[in-house]
Amino acid sequence: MSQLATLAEHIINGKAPLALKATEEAIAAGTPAADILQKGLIAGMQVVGERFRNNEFYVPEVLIAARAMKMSLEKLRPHLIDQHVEPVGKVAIGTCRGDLHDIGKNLVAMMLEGAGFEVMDLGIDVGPEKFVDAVKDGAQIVALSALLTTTMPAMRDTIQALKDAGLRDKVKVIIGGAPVTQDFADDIGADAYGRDAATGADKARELLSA
Amino acid sequence: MYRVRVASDDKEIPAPDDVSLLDTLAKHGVALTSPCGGEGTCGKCRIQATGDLNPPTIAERTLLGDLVRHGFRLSCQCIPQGDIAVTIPDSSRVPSIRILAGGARRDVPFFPNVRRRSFTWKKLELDDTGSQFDVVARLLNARADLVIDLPEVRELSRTLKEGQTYDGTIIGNRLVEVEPTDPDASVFGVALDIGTTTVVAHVIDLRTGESVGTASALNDQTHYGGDVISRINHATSMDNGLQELQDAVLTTVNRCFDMALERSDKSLSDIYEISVVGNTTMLHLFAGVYPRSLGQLPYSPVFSHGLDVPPNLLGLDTNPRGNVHLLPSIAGYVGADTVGAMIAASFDEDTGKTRLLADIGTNCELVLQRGGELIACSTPAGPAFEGARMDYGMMAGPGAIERVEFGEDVVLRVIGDATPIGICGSGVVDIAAELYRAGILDETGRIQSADDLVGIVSPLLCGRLHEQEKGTAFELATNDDGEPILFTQKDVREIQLAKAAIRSGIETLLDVAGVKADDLNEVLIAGGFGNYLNKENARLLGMIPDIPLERVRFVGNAALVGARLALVSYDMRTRAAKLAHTIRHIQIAGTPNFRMRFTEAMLFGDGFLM
Repeated sequence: MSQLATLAEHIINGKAPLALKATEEAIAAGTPAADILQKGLIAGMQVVGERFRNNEFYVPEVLIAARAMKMSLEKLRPHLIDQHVEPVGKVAIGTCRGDLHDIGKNLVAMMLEGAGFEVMDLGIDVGPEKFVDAVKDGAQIVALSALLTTTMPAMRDTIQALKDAGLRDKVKVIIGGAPVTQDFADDIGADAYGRDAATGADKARELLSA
Repeated sequence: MYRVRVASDDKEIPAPDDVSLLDTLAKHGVALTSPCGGEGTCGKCRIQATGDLNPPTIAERTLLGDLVRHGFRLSCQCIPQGDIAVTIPDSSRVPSIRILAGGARRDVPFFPNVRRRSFTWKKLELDDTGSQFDVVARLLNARADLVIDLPEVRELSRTLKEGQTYDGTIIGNRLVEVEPTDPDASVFGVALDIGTTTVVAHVIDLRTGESVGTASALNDQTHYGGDVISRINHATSMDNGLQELQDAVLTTVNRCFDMALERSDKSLSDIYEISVVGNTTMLHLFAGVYPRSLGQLPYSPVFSHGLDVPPNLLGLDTNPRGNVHLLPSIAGYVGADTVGAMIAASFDEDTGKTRLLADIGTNCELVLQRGGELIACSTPAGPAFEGARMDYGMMAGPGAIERVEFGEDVVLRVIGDATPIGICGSGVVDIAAELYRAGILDETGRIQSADDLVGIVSPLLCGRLHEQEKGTAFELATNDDGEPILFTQKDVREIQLAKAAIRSGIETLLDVAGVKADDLNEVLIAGGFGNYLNKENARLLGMIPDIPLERVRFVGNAALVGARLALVSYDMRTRAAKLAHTIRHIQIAGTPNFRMRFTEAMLFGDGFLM
């Protein structure tokens, strides 16, 4: 198995210390940072995402794999900057106003990172104005999460706020969360709906290539 | 503030100069009988006192007569004017009752809110002033503020016959029933714990405080989702959602009552009071209160104070003249179940210790006590430790594997020594810990396949590993039909979610309070486990911090014990209300610290970087 395939395998298995070691070895061997990212970290997280989507992986495995990915990414980041490797895109993510259930949102954020995005995590209970500010700061995608039917209307408010600020055509909006549906996404004028964290990351990639 | 020396109890207590001795003594755990409610009319709260006191009142002279000269007083009439010493005769004390269940133990004064007393109706004399009700009240030795409603007055007007003996039933200060004495009639109460997953009813004889029967059942609401979030979503987004959920829990509760009474010849109409604990969402749904505010920051409950409700208003078929008491809640996600667990664990008393109470249910509530300071928070554990959402999980009951140990092969203990049917919470903790110890489970929570374990693990244990489509499963036993009872990879994931939520909650709470795990004098674990939660295994899994095991105590279903205490001792309700009012509540879910720790706490053993 190639060095980067091994790295990907360690990410999939959530073996953080081994993944970190493999990353360090690849850097020391002079492997381009872009390759380590693409063929190691992103490749690994892609498998994690697929397995999650197929119900072969559960939330703990994704979180543990993402933890391994994050530790390796921290090690890799200075090299990515030195070697001018640009992120795939910039996403602002948060649970919408009134909602602080963030496990789902965190999963999506990790899958996005694992797909090569720069993620601006705005946290929980995020008001529309904060998303507007994030778009002004260069976010190309706004990702909104709600776990409660009672907080879903806040998604509509956020889209309205983006319109009011004259930013709606500069940004794509993707939404998700247990009670959210494609119908609801269509109804409030979101650009995409992610059924689960892995699909969300895929859809985000599609939005930028469209 | 003066000092009162209670010679008979060998204690000294502070006494203010504007409160009766009766109240001061009660406040410090010395409960005296006072059916008149401290009015100075019954003469029951007598004590012997020396020292600087107000002179005896007319009431005392009338009721005590010559005894006044021997230092006897009525404590309700005594106001200290200096330091004093008192002796309390046993006849003046409220009889004490010991509540013991699953490790929680507390002695409390036996004084239920529901009381039944007998009296014999006699021919009224010319100087019997007042109404017939007044005379009944006097014969019942009832407190001065006794009241009666019109329907009962109408009954009374037809019932009373000279020379006949009657039973009067009093709830609080209401006379609710006067009937000819029937030796077979009972006065029962129920301690009811409405959990998200499990409902437990414990029927108590309110004349003795003794247990009549217990029953538990899966909450029918689980049909609408496993956690409170899905219930709130259902109640607020479906047209008839709230009604459906209320009906579901009512059906479950009535079923529990029937089961608990099954072995006695008593009926639902013998139940006069129900003392209810449960999380805030469960109490809202039980009471038919629309829970929308619980689904939105800041998750404020619609009501959090204790409530007294007529049973028919809730759709219960218990005695319609009875009462349903809902214990107070603390916050949207720290409910009356926590308040119940706190009184069961004596968190209303400051012992100078630093203590942590973890009530582990589908939602896990945590309370930290440091001196007089109390802080509470909650963390979403999921139902894994109640045996729910596990492939072969079940409640602790006959046929449940409650203990697992590894030797060359597995050694099981099954509740009721029956053929195993499934595995309950304590068994779940054991099997996960043993698998990790044996090296079958790695630090990320993956069950290794048998091929990787040859030579490391005994052949008998290896033979129990089955490759499944979604990972490896471990066979614990076979059931009556010869089918395997498996502990699956998915089960491990459920446990990881649960234990990570609990542990990261504990660490975050300690952090906020500035307490180190090592400073904890005591960790009390409450919950619906079987009776044999293995502390060492719980610690190995990382559910609780790494502290010496002798500081860890398992207190069983403490919330239910709390409900029972509130049933047999009115004083406990007062204390519960005070606790709920004074405790500080913090929101930890969603904070960056909690999020960071949550993933770390998923890991087992050395992988733990907290």
